[in-house]
Amino acid sequence: MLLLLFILALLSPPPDGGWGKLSGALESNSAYYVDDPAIGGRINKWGSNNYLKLDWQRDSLSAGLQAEWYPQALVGYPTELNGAGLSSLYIDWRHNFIDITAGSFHEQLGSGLLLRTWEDRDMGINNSVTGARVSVRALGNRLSFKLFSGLPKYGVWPSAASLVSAADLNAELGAVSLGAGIVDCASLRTDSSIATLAQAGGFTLPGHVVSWSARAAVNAGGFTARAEYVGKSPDFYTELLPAAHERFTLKGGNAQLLELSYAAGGFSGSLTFRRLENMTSRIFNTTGTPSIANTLNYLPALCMQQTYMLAGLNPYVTYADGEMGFQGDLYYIFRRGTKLGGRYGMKLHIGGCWIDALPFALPDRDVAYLAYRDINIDLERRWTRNFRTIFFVSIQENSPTHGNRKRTDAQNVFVLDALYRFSPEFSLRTEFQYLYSQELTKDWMAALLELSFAPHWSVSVSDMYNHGSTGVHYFNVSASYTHSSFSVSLTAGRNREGMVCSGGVCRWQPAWSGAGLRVHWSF
Amino acid sequence: MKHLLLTIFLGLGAICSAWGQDLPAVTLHDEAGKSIATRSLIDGKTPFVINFWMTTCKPCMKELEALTDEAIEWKGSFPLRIYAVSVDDSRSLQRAVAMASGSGWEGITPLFDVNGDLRRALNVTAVPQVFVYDANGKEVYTHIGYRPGDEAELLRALKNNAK
Repeated sequence: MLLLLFILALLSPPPDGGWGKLSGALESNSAYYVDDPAIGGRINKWGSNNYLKLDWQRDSLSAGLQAEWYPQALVGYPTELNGAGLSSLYIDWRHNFIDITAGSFHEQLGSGLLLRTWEDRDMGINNSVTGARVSVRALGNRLSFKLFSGLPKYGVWPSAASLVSAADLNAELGAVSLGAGIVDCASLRTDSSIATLAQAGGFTLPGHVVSWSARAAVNAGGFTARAEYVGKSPDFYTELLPAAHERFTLKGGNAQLLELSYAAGGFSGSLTFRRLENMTSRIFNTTGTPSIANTLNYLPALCMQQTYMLAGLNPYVTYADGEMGFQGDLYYIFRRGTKLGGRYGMKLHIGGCWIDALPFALPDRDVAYLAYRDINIDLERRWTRNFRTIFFVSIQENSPTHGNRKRTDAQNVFVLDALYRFSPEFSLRTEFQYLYSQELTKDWMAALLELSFAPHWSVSVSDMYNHGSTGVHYFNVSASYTHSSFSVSLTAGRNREGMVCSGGVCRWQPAWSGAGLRVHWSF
Repeated sequence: MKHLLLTIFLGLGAICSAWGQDLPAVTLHDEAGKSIATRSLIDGKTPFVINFWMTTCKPCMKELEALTDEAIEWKGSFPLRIYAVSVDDSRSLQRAVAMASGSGWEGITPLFDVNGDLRRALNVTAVPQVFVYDANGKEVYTHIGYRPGDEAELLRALKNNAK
């Protein structure tokens, strides 16, 4: 039916003699894996993730589709992706105050704690909802209401396991905005193993899990404050017990979020507080290894995602069953022409986060300790028209038991990042990094050299070396070419196992050696 | 099914490459959280730049700093409108606002695309990606990624389309 509507929309006679605009994007990400005794055997010989997205628009009408093809998904990606399918198909009509969508769409309510459907190809997440959506705006967009219902996508097709229905209201009243939302997730299928466990635990799985939220935001001068509260009805919950025996039960959830920011002159700062209690919302329940794609809401790590190689070795991953913490950032610019700023200015950033576990979510329920801490400083200075440096320090402390034990692993990371432009088109960037630690795999060092020939070419070579424990090198070479909206990159080398993160969401990546080819073209 | 998808991938891709893109009609937000319709950026007089960035993207920062330097240098020689559209998720929104305010991007207006509506509409799958639109909102230049020196080509495209 939806496909018919889509074809009719494309073939309907144009009112103004134009056939509308067609745009799209093609992306292919493939890898060939080789055996490497230093990191263990390869899992697969190769992997390939491919996407084609097409969008058509004419006046108020738009339609689109996305096809995905995983002949064998890249290692580390959710295995349910294997296969091919038309993962998205939609038609949308937008007028002054109303927007109607039939088919697949992405949506976010509030901060996403309540519900977020989004696509992140680096993570293998696309939980778009296939169904119907109506959005209405009034009073010059100051009042908006949306209502939708549909099946969330799992793998390459919409899942028949859950029906998600939601409503959301938002009002902007001058400097204040208020909002509220409600989401119902109706279970259309339960795993037989879950049903058996529920019976053994003496409870019945709920047919519906209902979540709701209320939120408010205030903007005054350079000051912004946002707050949100989320509540959730009893849902399937895995209790961790001291004897390491999992027990399954029903438990409600809640979350609180407070964000503050201030900006004036060359100074700005932000502070975020968040508390989570049993906030995992899944497309369907499972007792097996949970796929990161099996999600209906957005619970990213509160701590800033570090991008330097060694600083990102052991990132923090959200513990949605129970955690509480904050993240703060301060930015200051030493202006051009001042004593410290010099001729070109200098930028200072100080960031910090602190996450504590909550005792009721841990096997030992009476006490909880620090789960993660990161204090980082980066100082960027442009010395001449052609030379600039960044000095970065990160002091991290991570609990391997999510705060269940007092013991933590500490590591200190130091980075010097320098860029020199030999000519307007030709530049060299270098990174020298050192990680000092007395725990885990102890000390690491890393270096990167990157040559760029604007606007088309760049080549780089890098190595991470664990000289404190394993003595393994993780070397990589890469070359990339870009022209307009076409880009191709080729990489080869060895990659360490560990967490790979994007947007605060992380997935486990096994170690691999080999070569990768990535092609992207949008039109 | 695989052959069908491969045919779709290559065939439609080739057909579509003949079309250009107009600026899609979606809603963004400014630093204060107010709704901004993308079509309101089209003034019929001056071309403008849409630059997609996010807080964890180092090349994005370098490109915005380079554009700031150029904006200072080119100030007054022709109208320069640069919109830095953050595709940070809601978790990083406050940090993006603070970073945009505290990074000294002179002549650059920060906007926010929290759930990626404009990003999806323009098929941006990696940042940074930059678009130059003429005064009527028609795309005249785009570039994926950033290498030091890329800004010269971008500003050339902008200047060539200034009335």
